[in-house]
Amino acid sequence: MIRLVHKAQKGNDKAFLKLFQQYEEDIYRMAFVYVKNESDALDVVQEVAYRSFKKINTLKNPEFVKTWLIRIAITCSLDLIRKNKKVIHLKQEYRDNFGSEEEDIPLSITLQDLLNQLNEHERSIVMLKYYEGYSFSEIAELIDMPLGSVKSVLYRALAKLRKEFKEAEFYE
Amino acid sequence: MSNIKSEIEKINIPRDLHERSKLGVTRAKQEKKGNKINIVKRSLTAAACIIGIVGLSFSPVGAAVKEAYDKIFESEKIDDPGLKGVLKDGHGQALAQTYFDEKNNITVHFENVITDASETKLLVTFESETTNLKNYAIDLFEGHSKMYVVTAAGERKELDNIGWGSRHYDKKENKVSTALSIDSIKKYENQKISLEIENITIWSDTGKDKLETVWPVSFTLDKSYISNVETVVLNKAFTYDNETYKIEQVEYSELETRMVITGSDMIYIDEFGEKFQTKSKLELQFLNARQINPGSGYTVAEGKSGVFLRESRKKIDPNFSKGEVDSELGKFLMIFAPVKDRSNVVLEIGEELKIPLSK
Repeated sequence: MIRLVHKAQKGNDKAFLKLFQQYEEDIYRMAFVYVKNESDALDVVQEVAYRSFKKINTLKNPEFVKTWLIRIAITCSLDLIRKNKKVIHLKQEYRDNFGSEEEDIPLSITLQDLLNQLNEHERSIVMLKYYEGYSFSEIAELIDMPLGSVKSVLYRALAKLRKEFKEAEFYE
Repeated sequence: MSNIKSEIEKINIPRDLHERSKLGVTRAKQEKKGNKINIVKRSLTAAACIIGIVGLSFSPVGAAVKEAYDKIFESEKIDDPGLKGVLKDGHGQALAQTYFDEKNNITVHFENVITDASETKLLVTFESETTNLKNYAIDLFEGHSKMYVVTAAGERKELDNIGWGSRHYDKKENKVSTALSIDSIKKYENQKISLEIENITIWSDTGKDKLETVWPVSFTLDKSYISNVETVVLNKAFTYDNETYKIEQVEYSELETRMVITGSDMIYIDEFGEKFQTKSKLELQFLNARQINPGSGYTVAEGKSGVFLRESRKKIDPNFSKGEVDSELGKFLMIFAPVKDRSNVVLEIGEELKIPLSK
């Protein structure tokens, strides 16, 4: 992987794409959790690919490439949200993203609520903690937030989720 | 907490995810190289700043042409209102040629070609008795397909797509009808040329495959113009949702009405001082009325707020098939169906804002 980063830093787009492909699904899901629809999440992925390839020379520690990409994804997602503040997404769009088979609908609602009940920061921290598996201190560094704040935001988010999903298992 | 992880894993991964990554990298790469392609396109836009009429004659064989293409291209199955209009008016050059791709057992009908100074429409249908064509597309935008023009001297030049084009699949007949939207071939007037479609894109849930083939059609490009492209420089400013916009110019043609707009929220500057094109509030409002119809592209959603043109009392719809047409940084190309009476056109944004497109 480090070889790929070095190749990409020399301007090799194929090496960069190979590298990027390893993380693009994570980036997409990260973006989706922020922007909550497929079209915008794809826009974010494209933007992350664009910005990261342009800036790959600024990556000093190739072993942190994933964290670096996730950080760019968060920035791009927040940029898009700021731009999109007035957009109202249709329920149909949510349904399209979670598959169309009827038996999936109740589960989709769970994810939908997960997305809807938390604010941007809370969604982001829950995602980084439980999907990406980052530690509190890594998350604090990633999103430029004090460690104590990260913890309290996460606990607040979990409290909200417990309230929403009384029957779900949210305890570790 | 595995529950949260499994919930997040339910977010479906779109099939074109990697293609979007590629698009981002390609854009960055092009900018690093100086992006020669965009320079050509920008110079075309700049040239259009002169108020004037470009283009030549109508097809004198309109009536014959009218009968020479599949009626599907006039129907609601094709999401390009401009194309439907010019076909109904009988413009374009009939090709009426069939190519049989023996290896893949696909019969290709080249039906009609229409070009003006800005773009070309090539109308093609293809069908097969043995191969299910449901997922087969001549996808010039993000697929494996490419389009070339070849001159009598043997010069072969790739033609870029303009927007997405339109596609419809008829399950009963196992037939794909597609209106390809590509660079103008006007400069080849009176020349014998070939157009070559290279490779067919086969989309699937997991990605895309390539059917390697070449589908050629040869003809002398004549009587091809669909009248005029008339450019009106307006430089008219307006405010929408606390942002300032300027309609630089309106380009009227038989295929479309194209507005070139700048705005205060079209460029984002990142922490490194890099500039990026972003979707403006105006563009988001424009897209708000877009409805996706599986198998037949985009149409206007009934009753949804958007951006429209008003020609006297007639409402002129956006042309959503012309999505993501390249523009200069900081400019948004807002494209509608054509208007006939250009003297009294009003731009309507949402319910309240109405801007006459007159000086």
